[in-house]
Amino acid sequence: MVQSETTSASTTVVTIDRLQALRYRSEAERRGNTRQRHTNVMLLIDASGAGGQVLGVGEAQFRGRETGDRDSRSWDFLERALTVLHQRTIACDSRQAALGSITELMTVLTVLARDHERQFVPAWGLNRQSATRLAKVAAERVGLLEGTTPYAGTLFGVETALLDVAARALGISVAQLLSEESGAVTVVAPVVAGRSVSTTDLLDQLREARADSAPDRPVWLDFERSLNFEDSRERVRALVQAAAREEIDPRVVIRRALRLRDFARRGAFVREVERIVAGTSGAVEFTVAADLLGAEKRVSRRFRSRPQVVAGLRPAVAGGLLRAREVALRNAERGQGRLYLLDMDAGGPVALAALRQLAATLPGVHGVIAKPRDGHGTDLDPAGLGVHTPWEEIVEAVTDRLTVPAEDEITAGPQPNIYPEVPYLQPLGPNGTKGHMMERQALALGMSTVRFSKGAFYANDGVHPPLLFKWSRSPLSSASSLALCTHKEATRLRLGRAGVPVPKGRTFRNGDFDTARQFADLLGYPVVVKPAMGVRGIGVVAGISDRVELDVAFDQLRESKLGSQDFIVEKHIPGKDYRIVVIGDQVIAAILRDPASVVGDGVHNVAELMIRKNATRRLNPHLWGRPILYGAAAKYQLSRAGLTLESVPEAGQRVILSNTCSLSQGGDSVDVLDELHPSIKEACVAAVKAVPGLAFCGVDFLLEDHHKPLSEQEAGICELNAHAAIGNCEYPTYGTPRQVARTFMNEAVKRFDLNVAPEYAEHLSLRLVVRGRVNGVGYRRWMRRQAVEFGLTGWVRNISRRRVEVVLVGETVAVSALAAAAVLGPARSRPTSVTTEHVQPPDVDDFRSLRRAPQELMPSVR
Amino acid sequence: MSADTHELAPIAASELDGVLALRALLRANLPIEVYPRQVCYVRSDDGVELSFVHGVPGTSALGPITYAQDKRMQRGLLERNGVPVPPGATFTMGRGIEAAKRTASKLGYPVVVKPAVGDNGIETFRDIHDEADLDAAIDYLRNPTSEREGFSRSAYGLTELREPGEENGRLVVPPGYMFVVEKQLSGEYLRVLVSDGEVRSVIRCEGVPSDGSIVGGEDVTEIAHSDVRDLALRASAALPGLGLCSLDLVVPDATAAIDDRPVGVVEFSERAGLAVQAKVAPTDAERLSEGIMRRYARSLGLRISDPNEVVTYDFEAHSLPDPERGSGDIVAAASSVGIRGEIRAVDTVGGRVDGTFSGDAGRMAHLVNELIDGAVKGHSIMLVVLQVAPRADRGVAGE
Repeated sequence: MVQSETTSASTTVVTIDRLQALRYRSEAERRGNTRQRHTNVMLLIDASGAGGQVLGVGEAQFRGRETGDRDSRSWDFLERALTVLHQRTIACDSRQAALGSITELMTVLTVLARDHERQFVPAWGLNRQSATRLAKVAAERVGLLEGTTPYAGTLFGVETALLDVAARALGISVAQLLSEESGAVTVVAPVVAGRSVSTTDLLDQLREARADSAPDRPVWLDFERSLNFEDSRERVRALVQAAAREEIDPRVVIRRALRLRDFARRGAFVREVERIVAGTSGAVEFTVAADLLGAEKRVSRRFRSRPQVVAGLRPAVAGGLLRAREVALRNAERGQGRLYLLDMDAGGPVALAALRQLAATLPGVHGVIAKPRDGHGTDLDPAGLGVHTPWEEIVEAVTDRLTVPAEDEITAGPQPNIYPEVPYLQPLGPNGTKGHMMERQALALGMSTVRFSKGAFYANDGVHPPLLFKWSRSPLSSASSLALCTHKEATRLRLGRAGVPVPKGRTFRNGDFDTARQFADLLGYPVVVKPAMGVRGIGVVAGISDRVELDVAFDQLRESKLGSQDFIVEKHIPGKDYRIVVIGDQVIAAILRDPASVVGDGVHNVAELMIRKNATRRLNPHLWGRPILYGAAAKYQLSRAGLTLESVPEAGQRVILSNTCSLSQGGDSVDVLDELHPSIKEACVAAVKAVPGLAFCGVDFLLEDHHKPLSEQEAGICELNAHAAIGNCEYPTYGTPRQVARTFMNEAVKRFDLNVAPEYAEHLSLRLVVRGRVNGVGYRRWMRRQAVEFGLTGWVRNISRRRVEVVLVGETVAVSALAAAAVLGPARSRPTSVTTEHVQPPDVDDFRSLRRAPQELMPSVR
Repeated sequence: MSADTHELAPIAASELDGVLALRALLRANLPIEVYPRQVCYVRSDDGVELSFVHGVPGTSALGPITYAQDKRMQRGLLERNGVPVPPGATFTMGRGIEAAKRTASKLGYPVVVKPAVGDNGIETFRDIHDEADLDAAIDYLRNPTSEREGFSRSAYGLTELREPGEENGRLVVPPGYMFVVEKQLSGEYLRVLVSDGEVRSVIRCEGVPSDGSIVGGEDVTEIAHSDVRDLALRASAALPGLGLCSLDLVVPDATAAIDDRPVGVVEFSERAGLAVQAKVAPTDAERLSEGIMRRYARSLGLRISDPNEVVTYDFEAHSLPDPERGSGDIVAAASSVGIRGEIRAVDTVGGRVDGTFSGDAGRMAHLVNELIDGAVKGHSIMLVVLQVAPRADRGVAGE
């Protein structure tokens, strides 16, 4: 793969053959139950040279204004950047040659970044955007806001990967590549000390931590920019007092001390802190850290102004390790202040490794402030960054990927279905289809609707009383039917009495193992033992084949958390897991649920196969929010198969990744309706008929083989779902999709004799009135962006302080989905209801945000 | 319950509707299957089936019941149907408390605070006169539902799947948990039962059912003004698809026309709530329950015999964890409420006890309710099948 024509200048080069970017979600943990979500990108660069193949990793961090990145723009830029890098070479004769090549490449990318950003700079003119921009420039001039290189967080990641490639090709560490001298590095975890933590709790925590703190290192407190001037000052005062009493560490550095709105008072705050400290006796040292900017000239100015400053340098803000190093070295020359390297919030292991490598080359740097990670201590891999691709951390969090050169997304094995309506349904969230599909049908049949929440709407034909739906809780089923179906033992008894096959079994009093043994003998093995009111499979033992195993199971149950409960012994049915949907007295859909799995292609490792499989799941409206997870079950299954995430399964080898068939745990659905044996269908209908008033039901059937008659296999119905999901059969992974929602709505039309359109409309023209807090919260802008993205025409306008009118014209799938999402709105809005009615298509060819209606709307005639 | 006696506890208000429905079915000598959580079924020879849950007949559909259990949507539907509701709003525990206080002072005290989702007519805080009262009410509702004495969840209610919240080490409801703050109306407090499109009962309450302060009342069904009846019917029509509902109205005068003084529907429940009528006259509650059952049966074409006071039923108690001991305890519990119980067969391995009960239908209904509930010495029976004993009068016939 070595390119001969570009290698003439140097004897040893590596050529970049393949670049891969995996965008993934990373969460910064906060106190309480809050988490802050950020986007990172794992960059994998494959290069080859005379010495063979090398793989370099880097971690890009999209942190909005902080790094000059925006998710979608940065992703586009990244694609351009990776395309530029493809087939480029890095000279690896020596350290200097490698650094020279990388610096050159990064210069090209920095220019590209400016060029990419230029397309988003708005034309100057008197509008709101330009006013905001002017204000921003002004704020930057006075140091309130940080002026950063565009896409600094992206460039940081790319550069890291290039350095990793070069260092590995040279057989040295990145630190050795950056500098001939390197020293030890300490990583210090900052203490979360923002508004979510009370001062009392914080003090308690610091008192406890005092014992094992290192005497030569200060404690870093991160106020998370969440406190106002007064609160922050009072917190410092309390901390200083505690430090003076020697209850907590006397040396403290405070980071992000003030919320942005109070940032102008930073100078005053620093003086306040100095004053408070001066007012105490004892050796107390409190410092307010300054986060350094990317641009070095401001750095030096800050350092000049305050001699005792502690500063934090963030390479992801500086745009890479090389630029950060320059800044740090310049600082060291002046010999002023203490410098630390800071990781971004929700930084991953690769960025931390990069920071450690950089810190090792900078004697002036006192440490790396980051969340420490396991396995990155002393036993560093000597080459490159010292870390491998952290598959474990990212495998289930990847949301997008791109490769240069582009690759087909084809996975091994049968090809899964993909559904073009996914983008329309995504604003509704992972469970969005459940509450939306029925409304789509109602609207397509010409009914008007009123929606109260993501799940609840009612449909009206203008003649009859409205039909009230919440998810699949419908006006067709009785409340009593749900009450029975949500009780497993009651369902089993009822179905058993109706002659429907159910796993035989019964409940036993806690400790009554003698009777249970007799019962199991009578029942015949294998049996299952489980607690009567079980959760999450605790204490459940399946496949018990004799008395000896039964006693082992009883022991396990006794020792489990639910060991004090009554317990159930029932027949074990060795079948597969089916979901069969019954509406009225008809089976209308059936899927086989398979446990989460990937199929090997002999090339990619398990992690890559999972990421690819999850990519296809993201094109399924029911599964896009339900990826295969890398949890305890996946680890257990992999270890059983003797595999790890890095293993490359053989072509055609199926690797199971979960213990259950649950679609939520990454399972696949396979349509089997046409193959279902009539006796199975009859049993399903009989089961549903056994529960009066059950009009729509998902029957969970354990079957050995769905082709065979029930009389020739062990089988049993283990659950009836009176408010079953609709999307799982509507959008199977494999096989024919079934129109569950349409059949369900048609049944309602028939039952209530509704006055609806004869045909399902493929196009809709709707007027929505959205009520609630929808003014001054960006609602119209949000709506316009969605509508334009969905390719719809129409308009949005305010009609009163708490009401917005939206007109949507376009394809039914898109229009109805946006009508449903209208009740969610952008983050700050709080819509309470959305009324949707049909209108005649207005004469418009785009979608605008308007002050007044451009034309009168006429009600549609049916 | 004490371990040494077999006396049954009095019927809880939330269980009364279900017990009365079972009583009505027993009195009609119908064959019944009783399942946990007050679900019962009657199957006639020609396949017609009646079903009840908590005394709510099978004519009440799942969709509408879900709306009835969500006060924000319930209020929205009532308002859209032109039914007055007290001014108020819904807030989340996570970020709505400050807004709730602002709303309360804007509405003007006194206000009422209650949970927004779940069973109606419980955990209601009235007479909130200032912010301190409001804080106390919200603080109660902040406790996880499992730790609240007044909490109940119907068999058809939504299951809480959200993670609980945490507040300075204290476990609290999820941040998305919602509560209602509304203006407290003053006037006469009426409880109205609407079933099958007609007003069946109007009680002028002394005290209020939803906060447990009711001490009695007066039956004003015959003298209630037609405006009051119309209002109740309009409210009932706002949630189509319910076989019955009970509403609490506040009006200036039950017997007078509604004028421009404030009126409003302050509670709307998908259940009959006959505990209120029982407070005034127990026989009225029984009569109303009987009426609900008979109209329901008639609508399905099931002809039923006249009610019998004393009935004799063969029973099968299924899924008994300990049938040997259970059989004795069942008989003892029966005799404590004046029911004659006899055991015919005990299947230890199968977990089943067969026998005969004979006595007053109301007491038998109470007994069966307790057997299913596990209240009799902790024997949690999962199904009681009741067949009219051969020697008793047969009353059931399909049409």
